[in-house]
Amino acid sequence: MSRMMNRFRCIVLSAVKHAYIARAVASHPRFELIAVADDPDRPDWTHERNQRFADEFGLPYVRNIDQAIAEHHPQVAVVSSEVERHCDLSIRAANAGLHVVQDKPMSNRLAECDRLLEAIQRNQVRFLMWSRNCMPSVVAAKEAIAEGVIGEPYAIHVDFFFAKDAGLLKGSRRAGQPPLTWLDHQLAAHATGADGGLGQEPLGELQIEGVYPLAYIRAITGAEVHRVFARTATHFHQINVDHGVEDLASVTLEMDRGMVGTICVGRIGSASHPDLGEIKIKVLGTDGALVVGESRPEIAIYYRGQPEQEFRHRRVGVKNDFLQMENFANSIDGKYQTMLDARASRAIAAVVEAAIESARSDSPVEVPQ
Amino acid sequence: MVRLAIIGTLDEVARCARLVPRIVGAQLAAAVHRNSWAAEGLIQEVGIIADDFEALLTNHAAAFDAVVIYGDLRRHLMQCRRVAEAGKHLLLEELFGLSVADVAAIDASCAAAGGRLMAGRSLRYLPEVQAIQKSLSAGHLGEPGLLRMHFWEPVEMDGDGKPLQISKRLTADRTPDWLIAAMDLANLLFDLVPTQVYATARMPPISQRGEHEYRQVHLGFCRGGMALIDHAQTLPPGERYFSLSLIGSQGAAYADDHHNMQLLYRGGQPMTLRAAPDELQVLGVLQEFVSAIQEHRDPLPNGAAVIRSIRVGESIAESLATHQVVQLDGQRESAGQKEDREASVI
Repeated sequence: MSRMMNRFRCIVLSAVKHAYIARAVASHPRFELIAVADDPDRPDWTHERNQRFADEFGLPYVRNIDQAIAEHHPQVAVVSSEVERHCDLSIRAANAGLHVVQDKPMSNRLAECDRLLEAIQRNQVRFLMWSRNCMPSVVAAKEAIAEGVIGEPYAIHVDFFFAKDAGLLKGSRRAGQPPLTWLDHQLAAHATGADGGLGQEPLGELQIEGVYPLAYIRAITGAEVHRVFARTATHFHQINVDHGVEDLASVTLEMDRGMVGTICVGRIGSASHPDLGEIKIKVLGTDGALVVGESRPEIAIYYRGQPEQEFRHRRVGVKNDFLQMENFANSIDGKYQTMLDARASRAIAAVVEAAIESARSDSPVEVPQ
Repeated sequence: MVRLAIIGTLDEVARCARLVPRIVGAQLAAAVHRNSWAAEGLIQEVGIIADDFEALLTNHAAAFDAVVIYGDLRRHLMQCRRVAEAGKHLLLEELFGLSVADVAAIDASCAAAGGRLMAGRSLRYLPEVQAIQKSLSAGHLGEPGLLRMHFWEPVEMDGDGKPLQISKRLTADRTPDWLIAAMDLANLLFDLVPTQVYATARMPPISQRGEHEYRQVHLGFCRGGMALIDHAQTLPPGERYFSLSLIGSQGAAYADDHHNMQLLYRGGQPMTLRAAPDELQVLGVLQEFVSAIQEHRDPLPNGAAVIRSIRVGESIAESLATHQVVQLDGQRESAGQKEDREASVI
């Protein structure tokens, strides 16, 4: 049987958050979507979004996950639910013998990550955390450093600022006006794709997007983080103030081989950058340094009447979706682990949890290994 | 007109001779260069060339109002105090490189004689920082939330092109002057002195010199502000790298050498050319010094601001030694300036 014949049957276990992941899976020739499924007791908005996605691809939507797996015999599960359900759905998929592609973050609880890691290992299935690690700039940086162009890397810094709004600005809720619930805010943000924290439980930016810069650092250096010191703040948005979760964070990282580094993350408001946000990777090595604009290569397009929200600079040559799914396919074929597997994802979640604790305690914190 | 005397190398004197005509209210009156015969070519611009401090003070004190001193001050502390005691205003290029006690002593001497003291090599006068400060003052950026700065320099080399040996340095393992100047800038932009300092460092294997060539500093400020600043002295010989980002509640500013390079193609991978001239920073410093003297106010950064920065620098060293966060009092930077002349600075 030729390699092209060997397509993996994929079931989408909730497409309520980032449906682009399931679309990315579908776009790779080695994967085909066969059904969408979710638990029957989910709220109506969940079923509406799942049904909409299923209709778009002409797929059945089954309101019973066990039934869907039994009927459709998938080999892969694609999970993009509310954050607090990520691990539960992935664990159930792994226990059913499915390989898993999961939206980030792994979970908002380290204990859940541990459960998922155990399930993946016990069932000997593959796990891929969705990331941006195949952006052309990240790939180029990784290759350059692997070639030794700057010698041995010893310090790495990543700025990961999303220039996105999140509702009312800090201080603008009128007296007597009740705060918006976290979920209502995230539901409203779905239209712009700014609902990375979708769920009942409020999440700060370290939990929502911290995985991205930490995954870059891991991909480029291969180093584990052992100790962190963090500062967090609610600096921009009323929703973050109301729910006590940060929208701005900075973290000092102390890593393997004496390496050090930092990350800055934040949802800094659409006024603070003309495009998606300022995302930079900077690496110092024994023989030089590398400064990388993560958004490049890009082109600039301007025209009269251009909507304000439209990015003026657009990334080109991006194969992030294809490369991740290619990696996943090869991993299932037995060639290697995925580029961001369950162990690495758990390690990243541990760094995030340690950073949150550090900010709370005003002291450095060892990362639980 | 403020009459300036310059003490420095031939290049530094020549640069001042070139720049002073662009400073409003300034005139170049005298210069000290140890090989005054070599500086003879500048006599037309400068007027007076003296061999050393003594000659300047003894023979030409009436010819100048203010003195700009370049070079490592740790060897010339007594001369600095004598110039201050003579009632001359002082601009010390390497003031950030001194101890709190030494800065305080010079500051006190200036104050007692009615002179003004200013630190040169201040990051406040980088053109990009001036632009950011203007936006910040106008309220465009809102409340500063996060400051990020990188400054990477080449390895210091000796005359033979080899990395400078530790014995040749005056202060091994002291917080570098640039980092202390960066603390001054952070204090300025937040209008606060930090409450937390956490520093980490790295000794790359190329050094073998047993000292920190890379430091990164994490600052916490009241009202949730934070800063990440790192300084490296590990680049191969050649150009340096600088970038600064300030994220505020209403806007953000990004200044990055990465954006400011031009491309040069000479076969193989293209090289880059730096676009912005460095002299604008020197001009800004000199103009502030002269304007402050004329306006009978303290130039910034003054002695007290430098002391606040050095104290943060000391906290960096303490944090590196203890591997823990150092807590500071945290105070208003601008409020501190009002008390400069009244309060004891030691």
